[in-house]
Amino acid sequence: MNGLHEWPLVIFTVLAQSAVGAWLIFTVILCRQGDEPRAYWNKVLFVPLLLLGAGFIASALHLGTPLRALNSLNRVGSSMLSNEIATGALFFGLAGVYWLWGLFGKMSRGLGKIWLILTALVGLAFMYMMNQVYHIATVPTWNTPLISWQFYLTVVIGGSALACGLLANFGDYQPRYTAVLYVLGTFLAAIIVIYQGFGLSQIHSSAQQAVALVPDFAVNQVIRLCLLAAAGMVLLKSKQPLLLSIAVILALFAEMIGRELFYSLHMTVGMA
Amino acid sequence: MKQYGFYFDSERCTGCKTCELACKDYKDLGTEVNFRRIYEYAGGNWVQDNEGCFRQDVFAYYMSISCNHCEDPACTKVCPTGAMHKNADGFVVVNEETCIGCRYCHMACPYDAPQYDAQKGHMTKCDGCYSRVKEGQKPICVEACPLRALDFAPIEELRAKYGEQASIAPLPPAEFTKPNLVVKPNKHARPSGDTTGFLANPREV
Ligand code: SF4
Ligand code: SF4
Ligand code: SF4
Repeated sequence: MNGLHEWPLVIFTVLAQSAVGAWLIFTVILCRQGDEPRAYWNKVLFVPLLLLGAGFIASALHLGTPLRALNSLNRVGSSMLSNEIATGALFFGLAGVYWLWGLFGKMSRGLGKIWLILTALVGLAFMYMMNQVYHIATVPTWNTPLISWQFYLTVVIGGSALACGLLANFGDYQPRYTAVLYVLGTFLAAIIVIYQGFGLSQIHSSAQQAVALVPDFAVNQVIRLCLLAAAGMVLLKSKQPLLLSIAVILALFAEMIGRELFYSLHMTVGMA
Repeated sequence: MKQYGFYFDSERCTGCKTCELACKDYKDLGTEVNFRRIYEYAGGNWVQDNEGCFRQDVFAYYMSISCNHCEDPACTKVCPTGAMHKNADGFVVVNEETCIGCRYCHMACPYDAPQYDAQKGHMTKCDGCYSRVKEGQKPICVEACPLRALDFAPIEELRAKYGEQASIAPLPPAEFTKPNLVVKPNKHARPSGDTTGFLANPREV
């Protein structure tokens, strides 16, 4: 599989999307119910931050010259990659400040809400930019609405898996819709796989057939969907921390299989 | 300076790769990076004629392609650092001091021109032998070609002399990046997007 050479980006995109997805769900809960008990929320909110941090480190590994990483902000506004990194860093900063705030001080409910909503909006912008990075006019396998669906569905699937796992033992805080979101996300993902599988046969240049890039497309997608289903059963039923953690890891891993296929599908309208 | 561009005569090119190697020598490139690449497009089959005889119509031709210093470059549009840029003289060059090696330009260019140099940790690419051209000389690859199949000149002149064709398989349709490239087709030349042939030397390019 040639998408494996992009493993830093596979890790970065899936972790960042799951972290943002979870943060969006937490935002809704926190805005509605407040952040009691604080100690528990401090722990819960740390997880997406950790994943996001790990994602950023992975993404830096993908650079040929990581020491110059800051140059990537040179073209904010014109390059989608600059936009992605800028909004991602801003999201990380805002979310991190909120977490530190909860850890060390008492913030007023009103300000906390505004901060959360602002962070969530930046998170959404980050997700939009991340998706736009891959809409390159010269890359026919990426420049399709199915890819946007795939990216946004990872936000839903990874985010709700994280939220389900982290909130399972948290009394009334686990809203029903996190589970519903997970099931819905996985269901839609399966539909996208079917459409994508058929669509690929239409995409070719004189030098490359899209289907030839992913000879194991079907078997990999089947594994991915089975893993998502298995993780889902645990997430919906179990309260066992160990089982839940395994289920979350499986769900994220499943999304990484999907992302790996995505990177394997890179080709251009020409010879590259 | 006027916008320069390449001319490639696909009737003359024999696929000998002298241009590619001359460039490698001049630019001191290793085995992994090729500023100029020779694509072999081949195809054909047995066809039955009216008398019931089977005849073959196999074909093969070459395309020697570097960077086309495009009018609407896919590479510069996506670059997050601005390292990949079209300079005042119309040459698309990478500033190797700024590039972070994210390879985004490589993902976007349909001609495979920007190539990542793992040793250097950043992008490298044909600069149109900018310094030579400024002094009134031709690029090394052009001078090296034993068949005189390549030229580099103000694109207006090339288009006036040879026409506008640049959409020959396996090249992408020219609308995508508006390459400063004129190709003289050969008698087997197929249009961009054609699937009667295939890229016969994928491991060489
Ligand atoms: S050929 Fe590729 S690298 Fe060169 S200017 Fe055009 S898009 Fe950029
Ligand atoms: S590899 Fe360098 S030149 Fe290419 S897009 Fe990234 S920063 Fe720009
Ligand atoms: S113009 Fe110069 S750098 Fe570009 S392919 Fe020819 S020899 Fe190489």
